[in-house]
Amino acid sequence: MVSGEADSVRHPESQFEPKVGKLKNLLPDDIRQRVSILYGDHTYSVPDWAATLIYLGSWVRSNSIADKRLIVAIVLPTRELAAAFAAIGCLIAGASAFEDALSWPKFKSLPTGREVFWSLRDGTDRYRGKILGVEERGNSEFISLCVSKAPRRKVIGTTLQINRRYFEGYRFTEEAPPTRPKTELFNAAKQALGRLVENLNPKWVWADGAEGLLVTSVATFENSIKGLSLSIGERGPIAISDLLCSARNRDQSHSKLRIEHPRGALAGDFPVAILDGPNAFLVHEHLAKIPNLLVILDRSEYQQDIHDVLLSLRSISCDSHNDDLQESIPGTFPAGVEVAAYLIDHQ
Amino acid sequence: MNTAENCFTRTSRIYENIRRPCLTRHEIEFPPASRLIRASARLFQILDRDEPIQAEISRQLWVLRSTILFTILPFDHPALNLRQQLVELENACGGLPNATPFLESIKHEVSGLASLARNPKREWLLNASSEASMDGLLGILSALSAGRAPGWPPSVPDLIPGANGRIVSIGSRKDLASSVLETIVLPCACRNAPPSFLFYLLHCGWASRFVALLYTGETLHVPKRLALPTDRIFEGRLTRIVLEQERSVIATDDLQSGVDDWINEAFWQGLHGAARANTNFPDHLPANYVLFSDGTGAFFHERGSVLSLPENGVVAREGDLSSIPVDGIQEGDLVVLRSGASGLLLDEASDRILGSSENENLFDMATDWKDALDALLVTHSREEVAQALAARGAPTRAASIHQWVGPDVLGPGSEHVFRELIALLAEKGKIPIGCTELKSYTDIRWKSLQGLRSVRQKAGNLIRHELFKALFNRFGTGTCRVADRECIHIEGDTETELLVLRVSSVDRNVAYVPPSRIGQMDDLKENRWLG
Repeated sequence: MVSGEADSVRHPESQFEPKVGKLKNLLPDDIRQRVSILYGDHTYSVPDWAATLIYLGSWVRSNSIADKRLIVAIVLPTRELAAAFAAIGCLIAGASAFEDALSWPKFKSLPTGREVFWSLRDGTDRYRGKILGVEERGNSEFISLCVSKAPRRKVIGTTLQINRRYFEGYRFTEEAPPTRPKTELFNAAKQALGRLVENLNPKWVWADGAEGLLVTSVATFENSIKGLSLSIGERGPIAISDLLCSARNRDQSHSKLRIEHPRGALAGDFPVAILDGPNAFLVHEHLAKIPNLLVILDRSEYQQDIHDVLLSLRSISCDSHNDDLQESIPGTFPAGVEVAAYLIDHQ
Repeated sequence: MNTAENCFTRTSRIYENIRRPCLTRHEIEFPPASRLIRASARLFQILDRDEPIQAEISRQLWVLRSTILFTILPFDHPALNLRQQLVELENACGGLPNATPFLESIKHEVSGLASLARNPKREWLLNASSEASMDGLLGILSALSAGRAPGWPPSVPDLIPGANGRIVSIGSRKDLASSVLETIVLPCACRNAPPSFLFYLLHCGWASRFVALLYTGETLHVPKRLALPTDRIFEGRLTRIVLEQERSVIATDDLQSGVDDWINEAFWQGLHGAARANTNFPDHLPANYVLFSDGTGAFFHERGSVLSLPENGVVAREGDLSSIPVDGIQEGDLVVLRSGASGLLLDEASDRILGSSENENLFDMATDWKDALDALLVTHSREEVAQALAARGAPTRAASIHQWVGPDVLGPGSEHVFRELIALLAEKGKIPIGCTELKSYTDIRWKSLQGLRSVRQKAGNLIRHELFKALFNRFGTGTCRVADRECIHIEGDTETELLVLRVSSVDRNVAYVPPSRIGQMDDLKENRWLG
């Protein structure tokens, strides 16, 4: 097997193994010490509610248990900014848990006809094409691709065969590589998160796959984070909108967080879905493939119908992993943050 | 309030407020009001509210009593109109001899109050306003009932001298959006305030201190909050917060609840009169009634959505127009509706697109089967057609059959149901084709139907774009204040008129209405329930 830089197995946690090792120092108090919030000319220390939401986002992302779903409900006095902070936590945990993986087997397993993108390792010479298949000749394996977009017109429509031995020379992705301005933003986000995540793998930000799907009212969400930045460690501020490295789920462009309206395109494999508000909660039935859910509601939105759903979840929840799950939970939560988590079988 | 307050600082203040919220029931010993509460309660008890004349007396009595209990104006203020209300109540009770003793008592109290140049609730408020910290705002709930609250003319906050703009009237969530307050005053027991709004106000951190001003006999019920079902993971680590409640005097018997519960429902029945159950009318649709500030109202499908302008009314980009679900409409929202004469907007836009494309016959090709369905419904009921489809493995509601045959719905959304419908029409001889042609006939119709849907979607986008242009021209600069009702003309072929209306109240209880009433604007300006 040959390692590829850009591609990776996104979510390698195949059995219960809470990825909290690197997060042990990132309890809410640690976040408060290392991060500050900027709006206009004002700098604020991170309040306990925001630090707790970052923590909860990372906690949900960190705890993957084979054949189980972790459903976490948070009820707050207001949902404003909650999903943004939880999503940041989700990215921190994803970056922390990231393990570079081998891409050849994954490409071998992609179905014929799947559209993929590739470039040289330095990011130049961008291509787009469809997989025609994998064949063995002698002792070598080849992946065949029909080129649909290339720097040189005469290459378009031709079949390209890449020897496994030279696979490393390319950066293959299932998502369109970011544009140059976006590349700079992603690099900035990577550097900012690098201040929080020990030994952050530099390949994480460029690896295929998002750390989560945020289902929310997109316009309202974007408006709420407008003008807000984080300063992490000694680094200059980075806008929260940039730090999230987000893109709409309907787009094929590269991102670390997918964001979509409850009525939008919600398909995809994600380790976590953040359901921001009651309309987002309604789509939970359509997200059966996503193992972990983080539901965010304000107090006025937490009504009987949602309560009934949670009661039924509690009735089928199991306690078998509680000790592991509780390992990294702080002793107290700030006033106003109400949380409940249920671990159920993933059918 | 900090002038630099932004989304982040506002949210932080909400969490600060939530740490130790406190509600004080400030009971005011004011015998005239207490006696009025008691006398009106007795009169309500003898009135038969199923009888129209006595129901109208109940309404007048409720308005009179609520004017006195709700208001923070001096009782002799002309805007309260107490004497005139009393005369009208007396006239209405003329034919009810057993009402006389209670009416006499009410007359005595109201006559005394109508000449009183003071109001104890007002005095408390003025005192509190002067004592409030310099940067602290005092909010007062003005959404005391659906529609216009008795005793609350629109300019009430301006009628409090010396408040120096430190008293903020809270009529909707929009009024809270920009300011987290130090103290919020509830000027009465709030038995007719929209329950969801009262819940939001009390439980979502908009102030740390709440004061309810209550005359003896008024009872405030704080809406209860559901708690998350406990788990075994976070249990014991959370800080449970409950609204701490204080009261200066123990309240007396609750004399209000019966009539207040009645008035909450009677108000909406007086406006729209629609049934709360659809047992007799299975084709009726579930809908919520929305009352607008300009005195109009309309039903909207419970699961529908409406286009909304941002809170500040500034429309700078298309993203500023948001679609909100009907059950998410809040008091104070600005919603965009087509006026009555513009019903063919989608058809016209579709025609424009079709006219510019190569397939002008798409509409006919996609919908010619409707004639066959119409013909089938001459000999079969909708229920029978629905049963026949169900027997073919395509379960369908009878109401859907009715909609498919009409112009408002293009046809079944499911390809399977569509194929079974065409097969049924062919089997019944309404479409003259043989078995061999059935597949190609259905393929073409389904493809055309999907093509037409695509055109409709494009037409919707076209309308949205034109709508945005019109709204941008009007509100793009942010200098034009949005009134309760704005008419906007979309330029171009359609001569379409749009209305931007501010929501006054929403009937949260679902009513069932014929499809034709959905979106139909009612002019309620003369409606007695709106005063």
